[in-house]
Amino acid sequence: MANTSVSYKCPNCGAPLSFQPGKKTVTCEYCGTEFEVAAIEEMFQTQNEMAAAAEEAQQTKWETENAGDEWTSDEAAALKALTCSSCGAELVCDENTMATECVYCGNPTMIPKRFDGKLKPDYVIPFKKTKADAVEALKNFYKGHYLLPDNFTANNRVEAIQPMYVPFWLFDSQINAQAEFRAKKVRRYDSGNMIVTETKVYNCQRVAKMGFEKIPVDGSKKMDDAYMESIEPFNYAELVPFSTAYLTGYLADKYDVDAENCAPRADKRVENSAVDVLRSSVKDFNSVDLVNAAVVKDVGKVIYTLVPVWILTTRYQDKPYTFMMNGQTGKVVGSLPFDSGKAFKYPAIAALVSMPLFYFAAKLFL
Amino acid sequence: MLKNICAIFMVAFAINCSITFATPALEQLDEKTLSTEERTIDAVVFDNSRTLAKNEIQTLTNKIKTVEQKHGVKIGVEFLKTIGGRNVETAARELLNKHYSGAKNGGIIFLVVMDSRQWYVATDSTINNFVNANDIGNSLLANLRDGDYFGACNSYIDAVDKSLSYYEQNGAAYDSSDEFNIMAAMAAVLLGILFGISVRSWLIGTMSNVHHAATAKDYLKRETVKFLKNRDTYLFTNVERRPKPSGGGTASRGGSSGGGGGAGGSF
Repeated sequence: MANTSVSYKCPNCGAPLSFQPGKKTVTCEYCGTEFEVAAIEEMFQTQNEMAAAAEEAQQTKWETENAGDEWTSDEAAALKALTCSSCGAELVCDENTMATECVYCGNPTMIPKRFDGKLKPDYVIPFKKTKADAVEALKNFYKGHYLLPDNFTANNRVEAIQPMYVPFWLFDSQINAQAEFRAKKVRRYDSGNMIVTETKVYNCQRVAKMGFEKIPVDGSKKMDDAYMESIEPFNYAELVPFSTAYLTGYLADKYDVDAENCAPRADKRVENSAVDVLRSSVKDFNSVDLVNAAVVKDVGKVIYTLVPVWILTTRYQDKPYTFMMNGQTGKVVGSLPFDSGKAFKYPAIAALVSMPLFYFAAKLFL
Repeated sequence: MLKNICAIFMVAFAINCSITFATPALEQLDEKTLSTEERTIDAVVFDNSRTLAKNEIQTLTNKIKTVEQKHGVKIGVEFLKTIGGRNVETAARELLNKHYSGAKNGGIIFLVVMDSRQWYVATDSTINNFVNANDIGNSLLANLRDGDYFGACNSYIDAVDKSLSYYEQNGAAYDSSDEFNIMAAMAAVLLGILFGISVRSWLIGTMSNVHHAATAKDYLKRETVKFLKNRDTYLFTNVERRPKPSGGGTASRGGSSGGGGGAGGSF
């Protein structure tokens, strides 16, 4: 059976190749040989084409009715089998996996069919942060959280650390925004025994053109949108044209939410920012309220990019906690558990300490 | 004959002028205040505005005499129709010095001016060591605002009596701010709990930094922002008038009159 995947092995010693974060070359960890990204790309292009053809041929045989009774048709549709070109083991991955690692021999494995044609990303932001950086960043992330359970850090062991290229759509847009605001100027003055409050009301109209560049929206259903928005921003100066060489040694998924379905998220953010820009030009008023706004997109451009994310999983009291780190900038995001005892104790201390202060302050008014 | 008449007018004019320039402000005030009602020498409650009934004046007089004898002080209550636009504190001090001074433990006056709806409690430097004018003012203000002038006078006399008794027992002036205030305590407990809840929410909030991004401001190309329309149109003006809050007065211990104190305001 023809291979449906391609193992990126060192042509010198046959060991697995991996892209080293922060470098511009692909390095063999065993013999130390370094390869230019372009050389790797060229070297494995033929193998990729063959593997893609093999998978295409195999897809026609992958019928859900043949999957047996153990899988539902949805599950069967989502699962794909491929063979490791290094050890021949059968690997099972989901329908979006572009790059993975053979669980038997550890070889980095590409599934070329997943980045064929329109599925091929335009750009990639290579990993800059290593596994050690991710572990260190997570430890630092724990610091300064007063409610963190003591035994969370004491007994904490990172269960899994996965580097993954997550599919993102980057939206460029030129927009024409207009908004109407109701603004008030308030003046207070004394007149005899009366206090007079004079409120002048204005209608403020603003129209402006503006451009937004590369608003990122993740195209993966697996990844939590809030997490993906929290690891922003990315440094786009380090975007490079896509090459499978950057994927060696990492997991990578293709998008499963297309640009059209992601666009409303970008549009909403653009609309909010445009209104903020217009509002910021309404000056010298005491209050400004939005009456209505309209944002019209003149030009919109989308590029498909893979961005680097470290996914770290820990477990506390049988509950998994997932943290994500921006593989380029090192920004860590996540939700930590909190100690209920501490969550009662600290606020109670704050309340008790503040009560005498409030008492003396209240006596001045009562 | 004509010369004699002129001489008489000139002498009368000269006498009038000398009286005018020689009379201090207090006499000016007293002339006005006593123009419709005679003040008896030992009056401790004087009312030319006819605010208090005769029996109320009598009751208050008896009560004041009792407190005066008990503590060796002079206590006055004055309800005046007008003080002719003069400062209420100045008028109160003038009346205090004129009619309520000389007692062993000092004197105090409660002046109410009906046309300008002002009040003032003035103490001399001696009694100021024993009482807190601000506390006394606070004790009568509620009655005054309600138009219960007799009640205000009663509260005033009771507060003076209470303050002086307190001093005699404790050797220090009574100060309401030293007393436990149950309302303030309840407010403090409530505010403390709210503060604790806020601290808890904040602490729990710090445990996660996962949030949806609401805007795309990081991706805005500032140099591309071009305003095509920027117009502010005046629509209308709303004017709201409300009366100034009536002041509870501010106390000034050891104030302007040789160490005396006072508290006053409008009602």
